[in-house]
Amino acid sequence: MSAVDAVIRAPAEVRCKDELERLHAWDTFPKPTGWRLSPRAVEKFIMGDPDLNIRPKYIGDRDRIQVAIATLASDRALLLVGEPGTAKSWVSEHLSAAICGNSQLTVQGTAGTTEDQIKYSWNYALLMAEGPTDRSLVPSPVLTAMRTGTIARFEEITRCASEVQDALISILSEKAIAIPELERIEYARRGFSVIATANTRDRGVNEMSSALKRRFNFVELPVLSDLQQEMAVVRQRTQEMLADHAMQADLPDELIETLVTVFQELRQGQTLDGEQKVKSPSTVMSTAEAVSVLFGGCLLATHFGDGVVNGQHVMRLLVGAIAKEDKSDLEALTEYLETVAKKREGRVWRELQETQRWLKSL
Amino acid sequence: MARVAGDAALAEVAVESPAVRIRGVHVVPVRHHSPAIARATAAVIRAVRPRLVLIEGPDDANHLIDALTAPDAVAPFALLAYRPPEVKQATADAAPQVVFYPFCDYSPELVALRTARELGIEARFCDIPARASLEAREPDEQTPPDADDAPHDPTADAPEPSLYDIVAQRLGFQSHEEWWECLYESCLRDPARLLQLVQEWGELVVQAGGISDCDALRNAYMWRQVEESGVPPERIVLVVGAAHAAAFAQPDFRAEYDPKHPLLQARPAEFVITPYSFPRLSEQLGYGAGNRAPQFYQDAWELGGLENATLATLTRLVNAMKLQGDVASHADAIEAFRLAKQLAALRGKPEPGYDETIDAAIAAFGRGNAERVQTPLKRLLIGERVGSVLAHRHPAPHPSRVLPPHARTAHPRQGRPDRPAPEPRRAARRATVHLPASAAGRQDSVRRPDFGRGGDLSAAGAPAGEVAAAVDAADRCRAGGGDDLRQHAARGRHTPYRPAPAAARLAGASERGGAGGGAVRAARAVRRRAACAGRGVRARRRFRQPRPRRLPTRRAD
Repeated sequence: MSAVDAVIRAPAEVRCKDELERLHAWDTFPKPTGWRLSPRAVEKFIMGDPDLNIRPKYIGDRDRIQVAIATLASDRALLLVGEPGTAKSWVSEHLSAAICGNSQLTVQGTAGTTEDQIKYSWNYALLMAEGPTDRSLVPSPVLTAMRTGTIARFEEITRCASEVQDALISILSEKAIAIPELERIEYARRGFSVIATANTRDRGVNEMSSALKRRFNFVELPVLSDLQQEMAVVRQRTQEMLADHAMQADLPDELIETLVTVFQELRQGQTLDGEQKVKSPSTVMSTAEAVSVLFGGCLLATHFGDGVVNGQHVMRLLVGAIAKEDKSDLEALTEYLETVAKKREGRVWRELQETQRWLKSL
Repeated sequence: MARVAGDAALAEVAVESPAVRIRGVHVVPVRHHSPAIARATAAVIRAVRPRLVLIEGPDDANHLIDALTAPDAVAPFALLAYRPPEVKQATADAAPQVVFYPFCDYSPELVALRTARELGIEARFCDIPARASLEAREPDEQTPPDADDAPHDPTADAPEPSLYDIVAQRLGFQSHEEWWECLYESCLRDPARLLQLVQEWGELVVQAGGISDCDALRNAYMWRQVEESGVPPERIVLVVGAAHAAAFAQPDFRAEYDPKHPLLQARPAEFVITPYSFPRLSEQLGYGAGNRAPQFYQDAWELGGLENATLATLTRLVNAMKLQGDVASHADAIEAFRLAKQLAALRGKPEPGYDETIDAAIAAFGRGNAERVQTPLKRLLIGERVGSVLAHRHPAPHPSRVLPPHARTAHPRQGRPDRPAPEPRRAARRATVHLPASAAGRQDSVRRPDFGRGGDLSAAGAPAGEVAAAVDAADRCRAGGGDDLRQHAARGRHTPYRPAPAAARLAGASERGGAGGGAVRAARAVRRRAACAGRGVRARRRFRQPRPRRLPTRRAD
């Protein structure tokens, strides 16, 4: 696949083209209007299916994904909420790829997002030359999705000003955008819906207007608390990233288990057996962060080591992941090594231990 | 109303008896507290018009059947058998042995009794006497004797997965309850298939778990009653647990037992019919049977199906959420209902049920947060209903006997010893703890003609005008509400049926913030009444939130 070779990160519908084709061939269930796959096939695409050789895209609660898919088949939009790094955007991308074969109609919510980016704007050169015409109109991703009956994604919706967010209200309830300059109303075709994501850390969904909240069904993607589940996610995502970078590295179980244990214990503020309290850093210890730590470790080992990733590689990345905002977070890590890691046995724990002196020198 | 209509429809479908024929007898294999099977049971009795209906239940309680089926006995109630400890063991803390046989409106056993009474057919209990059940149990064991019955989880407390869980998991369900709901409760329109499925399930249970000695005795005892009744087998309807039915169907089954069996020689037991409650019913998951959400299944029973129960629950949730201080609207209910239906389709279920209701409520009402809907939803699914029974209907227990604690508090006349016995109908209503319509979102006014009249609202101190308006609204709702609901469902339109306007009115009163609003008064009255029934603490806690906050008064000094 040349697209994969050429770009750093191809969209989900390109990366998973084969899987989507297999599902399409398998799919005999009724499809909602405008959908490429039936809800059941979409569920298989997200949750994986060994029989059809579909890799799981999301490891966790199947019920929540079902609610998300069922929401999109209804008239309400879907809002995925959760802590940072809980696969909200990942799920959103794959859902739209599976449902309408296009995950690229995306508005990225930032403090600078304006209403134009949600509705439409103009090509000013053409506007000056021709006045408001179809040619001079620049549709937003949302308007394009409405015209084509596909899914628009709105990333980090709570990062925009709430006045701007509210531009979505009429779009979601009336499924139409008025374009007074062209004396026209554009109506959405069936199949149109919006998947928004919002993280609960920075600015909560409480700042959304209740009028807008009412137009969404909310699905919370939880932080994984099951060790095995989180290990599976970390392993799979790291392997995928390695493959994307045409790299090879062994990922020993012991290393992944230790890394995920460290993340879970620091996140929960206590050891997994609940026996000992641990100081929690202020940083979000997300699964996505664990993946990037492990992948970074692999890079270190490949380029600067002997190619075998070990605890020390991981530790060097871990420090950066934890001590992002506050120096005292580093102390939490030091304390963790001194009180918890010290008692643990195994090669990787020992390697983590050995970095203590280096850690103190920071 | 809904019930009668549903039964008539079933009777038309079931021209022939849908019962399982075992040795000529029309056997109805049941799971306790199952709306679908309750319906099928009634259909069987109506189709067969037998001379005798035999029901799994202690045969030493046969003298209480009239009281159990009396029109003013409001389910849920329980038949309670008890024995004071033997004299030689009687110490201060020796608890009396107690066994409950709970019934709700959709218990197939109670439906069989009621249908038989309606048709003038003789109905009897045929299981071993309650004294034998009491004897068979360890004194401090809490599970009722029917815990041996199928289908339920015989190893509920055991860590290893039971047959029930294994089957459910293998079929892709999260729990045995979900599996049951999807496969059996949805078989409403085809009772013959339903009973056949239950029978097969019972056979699987017997195959896997065998038959205990006690069950073997019970099986033989029950079948002996069939044989000795003097009624030809084809004129008998036998309503028993699925595992018993499966045992009867085994080729080598014989109704032989030792009449001198020690269990049958036990000391006699006393009986009392006691009000029971939905919360208590929901605690008995191990007792097996679709009653993880008694109110939800009550709705399914009354409104004719799980889909309507889902709709009713989600509609009531609007008011419940508002009372909790959350923003909720009927638009949410509409979306939640659509979502529930979509989810059911996605999960390959014929109609939405308990799990879909919860998932949809979390997404549409709870903003993804389960905790936000948990309290009101739990209340709507489990319900608060407490049954009532009339004291004079059944023989009073002997005063020298130790009354078990439950009977003591829950007994309607025991609660208020200082008052003269109230006249019967009023008494029935008093003993029934009604939540204010607003709090539980009770739509009972739709189908319970006397809600709002007489004691309830006026006792709550609401102004006469408000009561009249509420009653009037309830009447209007009653005239159209139930049918609307079914029609909407049939047409596939997603308009929720109107919630009882009385409920909306009361909720509105509380929102307007009037310190003396109807809801508050109603809540207070209910608290009073609840306290009388020994449930005060719970009731108080329940109403803490909706009570409007009084504005701080500034002192002019």
